[in-house]
This record gives sequence, C-alpha cells and structure tokens, in this order.
Amino acid sequence: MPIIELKNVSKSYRMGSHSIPAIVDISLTVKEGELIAITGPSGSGKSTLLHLIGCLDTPDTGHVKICGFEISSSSRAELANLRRLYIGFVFQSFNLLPKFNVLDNIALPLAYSGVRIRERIERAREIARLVGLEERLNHFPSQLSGGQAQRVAIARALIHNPALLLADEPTGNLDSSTGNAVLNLLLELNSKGQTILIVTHSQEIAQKCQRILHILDGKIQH
Amino acid sequence: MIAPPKILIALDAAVRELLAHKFRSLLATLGIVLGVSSLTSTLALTAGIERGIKTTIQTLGGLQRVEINNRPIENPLLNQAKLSPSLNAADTLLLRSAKPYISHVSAELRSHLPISSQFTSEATMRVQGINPDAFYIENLSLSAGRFLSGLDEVNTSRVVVIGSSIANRFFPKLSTDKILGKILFIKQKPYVVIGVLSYYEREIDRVRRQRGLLVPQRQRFRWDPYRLKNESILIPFSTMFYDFQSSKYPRHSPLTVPLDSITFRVKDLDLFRPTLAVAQRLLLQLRYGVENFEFITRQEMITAMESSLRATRLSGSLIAAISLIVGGIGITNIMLAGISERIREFGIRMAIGAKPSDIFLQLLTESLLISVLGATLGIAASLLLMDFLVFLAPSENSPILTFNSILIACLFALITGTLAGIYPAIRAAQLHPAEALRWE
Repeated sequence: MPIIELKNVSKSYRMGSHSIPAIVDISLTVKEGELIAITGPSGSGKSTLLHLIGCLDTPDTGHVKICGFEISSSSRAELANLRRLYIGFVFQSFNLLPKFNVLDNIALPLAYSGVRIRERIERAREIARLVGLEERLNHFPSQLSGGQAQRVAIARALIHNPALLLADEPTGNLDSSTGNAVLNLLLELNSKGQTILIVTHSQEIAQKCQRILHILDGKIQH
Repeated sequence: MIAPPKILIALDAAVRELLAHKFRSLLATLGIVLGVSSLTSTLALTAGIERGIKTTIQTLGGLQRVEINNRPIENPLLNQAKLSPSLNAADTLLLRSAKPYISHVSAELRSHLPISSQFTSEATMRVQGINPDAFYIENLSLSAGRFLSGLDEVNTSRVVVIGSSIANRFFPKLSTDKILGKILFIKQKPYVVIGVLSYYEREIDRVRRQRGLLVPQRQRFRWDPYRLKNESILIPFSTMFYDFQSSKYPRHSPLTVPLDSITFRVKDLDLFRPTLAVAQRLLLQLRYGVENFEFITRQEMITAMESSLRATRLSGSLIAAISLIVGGIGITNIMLAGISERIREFGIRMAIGAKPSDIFLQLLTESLLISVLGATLGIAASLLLMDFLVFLAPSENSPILTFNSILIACLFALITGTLAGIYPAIRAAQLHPAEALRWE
C-alpha cells in the first residue's frame, strides 16, 4: 500500500473575488521508505502540496489518500487524528513552543494521544538521545542554537513513529554546516526506513534524494 | 467523555499561559474578584444582621414569647361587645389550663408611679405588676437575690425586683449584694428589694466597654429593648392591684381587674400556630365570640426582618452580578487579544495532532482558571474586608461567612468563567491549521 496517493488533486485560494489556483491536477504516489524532494520557486504551490499531504488542508477536487485514508471528505477532528497517528512535521522556523522546555516540546504529541506522562518522558528521552540532545533536555527553545532547535523539532516529529515525515525547508534557517548535519540526520533516518518528504529550494539537498518532484505553477514538471 | 490526560494537557497549557503573563492574568481576574467579594460580603453581612436580630429577639424572651393585648372592637354596635370583658386574670387561669401548649402565663398591670429611695428624690418610673412566670417568659436572669415567688403573690408582699439601671440610679455606689434588703419607695409605700436583674446591653456595647471605649448614650426616645429591661421595676401582681389599682377599680378583684396585657410562653415552637389557635379559642369562649384582643408575636418581627434582608441581599447580589458580567467581559476581551498573539501556537498544536476540541478545552480551562483565581482572591478580599469592618465597628451583627455562601459565590464565578471562555475558545478552535502555521 502506498503511503501517499494523490489523484487529480486541485486546490485554489480565494483572494477577494479572485480564485488563485495553487496546485492543478496533481497525481502522485509515494511508497514506504522513499526519500523525496519537492523543489520549485516560491509561490509554485509546493507548500500547498505539503499541507495537503500533511492533512492540514483538504483538496477542492480530486482524492488524497494518506496511509489508505481518504482525507477529502474528512472532518477537522479526523484530520487531526490522522496527523497525530501518521505524520510528523519539521518546519523551517522550527515552531517549538517557547514556554516548553526541550523534553516537554518533544513529548507534547504523545500527550494528545493520551499516553501517560511517565511513558511520554521515557520515550522523549530516548528520541532525544537519538538526535543527540540528551544534554539539553531542560533548556528552553530560546537557549538553543538553530541546529539544536531543528533537532528538537525532528525529535518531536518522530516521537510517535509516524509513517511519514514532512520537512518544510528544514535547513532554510541554518548555516551550511549545521544544515548539513540536519540533512545527514534525515538521510540517516531514511536509511532506517523512514519515509521522508522534503520541501526545499536547494538543489544540493535535492540531489541527495532518490526522487525529485519539481513544481511550477501548481504542476509537477517531468 | 474526555480522557483525563486531555484535561491535564489543557490544564498544563493554561497554567503556563497564565504564569507567562502574571500581571495580565491578575488584571483579568479583577471583575471576578469584585463580584465574588461583593457577593460573599453581602451574604455574610446579611447573615450577620439576621443573627444579630435573632439574638436580640432571644434576649426579649425568644420566639416562644407571645403577648396578648386589648384591641378596640371594630364594630362598636355589636351587642356582645359591651358584655365581653377585656383581658383579665381569669383569662390567665384559663390559659394555664392549656398545659400541653402553654408552659407559662403571666398577667401584667402597668403604671407610672413616683419612685424614690433614701438616697434620691422622687422620679416617675414605670412599674409592672406581674406573675412569677414572667421570669421564664421574658428569659430574665438575676445578678443578685431572687425573683418574685408565688408566696409573694398570695401574701401581696411589698417586694420588688429591679433592673440594673434602676439599681444604679436609686442606690448609687452600692454593690448589687448590698442593695438587697434596701427599701424602694413606690408612691411612698416601702418595698423591699429582693432581686436585681443582670445588666442587659447590646453586644457592640459590651465589646466597646471591654476595650475601654466610650459607650454612646442612646437617644431616649428610641425604642431600646435593652434599656427597657434595665429600667424594670417588677412587683407582685396582687400587690400592684391592692396598692395602686383598687381605688381606680373599686368593684374589682385581682381576678377581674382589666389587664394591660397577658404574656405567655409557647411550650413547643413546632406547635406555634396550633398554640395560638388554642389560646384564641379559649379567650373567645369568655367573650361571646368577640375578638377584642390581639396576639403580638416575634414571628411577625422575624417575617419583617426576613423581607428587608431579602431586599438587601437582592441589591447586593445585583451589584455582584454586574461586577461578574463586567469581569466576564474583561476575561473574554483579554483572551481574544491573547489568541491573536498565539495563533502560531495553536497552529503548532494542531499540526502535532491537537483536535479543535483540544484547543477549545485548553482555552476554556484557561478562562475557568482565571475565574477560580478571581474567586479565591475575592473570598480572601471579602474576609479581609469583614475583619476590617469588625475592627472599625464591633457589632452584634458581625458578618458570618458560611460555607454555603462561599459555594454560591464560587459557582457564579465558575459560570461566568465558562461563559466568558466559550467565545474565545470557539474562535481559537476554528482556526485553520495551515493558515495558523503561516501566521507571523
């Protein structure tokens, strides 16, 4: 079963009386264990595609299946459940909660799954060790460097063993050496079987992926 | 059913949010603080006044004391009216026969007579001729000596029991023990003082006196049950009749002389109404059915007090309600402002799996937490306020904060908190996750 299955998906945004198409008639299949780069200039629709795949949004027309679940007709609560169970997000601007320390940030997704606090903390420590943050568990996001913050975000995205890891410009706010370290972490995860989708501007990153989807004006270029 | 961990996340998030903006959270509670403190203060003050009045009534003989007074007949053309006698001592005998209902009965004759002693000149004072039962009906207590007895009644002894003001006035600088056996002249007739009543005063005056503060002289024209008790001059009923009334009623005996009033004590408060009915039936039997008397009970005082307290409570509650509404609007306002600052946080929470209902719960918990905080501060404030009031003006009506009134105030605060939080919570829950994440 493919992890992602898009069939003739379109989505447009309303701007006053105009309707601006973001993605047009995209079809796409991603299998388990793939590492895919989505590239394209800003405004090309790659973020919209990522939001659809990440169950943050629903398409206007067409079908989106994530892990076999059709999302085009799902309620907002059902979409939240899909995100909670199958998807992990890594953002360009890290998007950590500033009032939570590293451990609490990493453990937060498990709280929404109703996992007891003892187990949450245990698993958060484990995953923090995996991304090399075991020394920083009681720090707050403001006390972390960019690279460390992005590792926390990756740890948070991984804690519930998602079927799919979505990374939106994960190295965009980092200098090249820390960016490379983060990228290597992602590559390492992929080598262990993690399905990863990376949205990026950088050709360098894209070249390291097995498959590149170039998007222009809402369409995948072949 | 929401799983407990969900409430814990909501609580955790709400506590962090409130702690992150301590001053703002404190300001948000202000309306609730005012509302809750005015509500609890109103309830406590009225409860205090209620207790004060009930204490006063207790010193006046309690609820069980009933007074029967003569009442002019409304229709003087009624033939029986002339035949029906006014209150007399025969009635007291009859009432005494209703033992299951009435425990004590006393006839009363009142007269203003010149009083003097070896120390002072004459002054006109009120003298009461009563039966020994009055001791129980009026809840009297003695500081020295004994009360009037049945033997004094039978012997028409010239003995007198006096209130403490009378004792001070006519036997100045004598201790109460020394006053016993002294002679009080009532219209030049010598009466032996056999008892002195305890000093009656309001709670507030007692506290003032103990603190060494000046006790203000009450205006004399004001109805003051304590002053009346302290100015008592009580002599046996029969002595009163033979010494001062027989010339006025030459054809009467102590059994037939028209009385000023009859007082009795209801045996069982649960049977208050039936007792009045029995007393009424007995009295009507001797009067050809003409009701030329009336009952005066403390029950009416209580009813009047309760209706005025209800009005006070209502106006206090109105102020509290307005404060709570304003406080609720304040919470809503501050939370709405807070939401637009935190759109990104909600986006992140949604991205990692929070349902709209989770966000809703989080915000509702936040507003509830604010109102709980406000209620706590409000109760503390009202406690301080009442301590301050009692310190400034000690009173027999010192406020009583009951568990129930705290409960009521908290309940209203929680309702306000819930209502105030619903709209912001809906707004936050309706945020679009993708847009919320993009928010700068």
